[in-house]
Amino acid sequence: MNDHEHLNDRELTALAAEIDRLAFQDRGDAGLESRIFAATLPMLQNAGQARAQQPLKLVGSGPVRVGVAERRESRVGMKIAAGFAIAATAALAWMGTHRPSSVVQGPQIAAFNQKPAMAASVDEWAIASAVLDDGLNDEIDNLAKATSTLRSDLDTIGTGESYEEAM
Amino acid sequence: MSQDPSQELADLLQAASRGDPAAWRELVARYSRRVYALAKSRCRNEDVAEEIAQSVFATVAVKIGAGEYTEVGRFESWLFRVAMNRVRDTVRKAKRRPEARDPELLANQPQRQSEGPAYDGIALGRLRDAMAELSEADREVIELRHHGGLSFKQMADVLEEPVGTLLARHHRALKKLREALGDSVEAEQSTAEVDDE
Repeated sequence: MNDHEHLNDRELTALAAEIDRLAFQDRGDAGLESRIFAATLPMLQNAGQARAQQPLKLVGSGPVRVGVAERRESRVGMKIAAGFAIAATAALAWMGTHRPSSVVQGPQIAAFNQKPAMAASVDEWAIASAVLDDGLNDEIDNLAKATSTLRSDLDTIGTGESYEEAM
Repeated sequence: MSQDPSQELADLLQAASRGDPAAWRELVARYSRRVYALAKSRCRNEDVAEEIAQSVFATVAVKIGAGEYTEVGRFESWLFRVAMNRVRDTVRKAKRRPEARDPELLANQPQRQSEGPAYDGIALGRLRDAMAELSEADREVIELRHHGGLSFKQMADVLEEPVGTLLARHHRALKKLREALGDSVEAEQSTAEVDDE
């Protein structure tokens, strides 16, 4: 059976030989091989038949033949590209026929007591801009403070205190 | 003039792949008992071991028959890798689902008296018990080497470990077995002395 030269130990070599003996006892009865052979031969032959029935595959360095699925995949890309091209052409054609008129209309004269809508929106814009202007805001604040001071002074006078005391 | 063994094996495999019954019979005769012994050592049950061996050869038959065997020149390593994986699966399943075939349970059954004396008078059954005490890795090395009859190079292919590692592991596993058997003998002797008193 196995050689055990690598062990360099008489006792271990003897033990290895005993394990060999144990393994030999574990090798089964005489009919084992026949049973395994009978059970597995049909599998071997069936696998061989299945291989023989497989369709031939083309081999070579380049793509010799393109399958239906591959052809379909390559056509999808082409169809998408063609769709974009048609849509872009249609859009250009539509814009050509519906483009806005180049004639510029002059200002219309408003009625006597009517403020033109355009003028009203311009005024609102001017007010909004002014409100948002920081400098003007400061001035309004200062004016409000001065007014409130003046009002409290006038209230003090109104309660009968002399102007000098109040000051 | 005798043919080169590796060339002879290659010819057998080629003939078997064509469905030649004689070639397949020869392959089964060469390897089935070794695969069975590997399975039997681990599972300690003859029916389970035969089931595993048959399943391994079924896999090999299908692969060879379908032309899917590609590891040319390393048939034994491939065969025992399939066998080892099947044994591992069986042991794992048995651990998850304890039943009569559980290797752990079977390992605790009393040993048959038919196994003769070994290793300075120690019964082979005790040697088997001592092997069951080894770690998974040590046990696989012992079983592939002695039950599978593989060379250390083939074992290196099966277990994907360097040859040096496997040599060292084999040596260490034998030492552990010797210690386990020594303890076992001492325990038996002390029990006998107590009985005599």
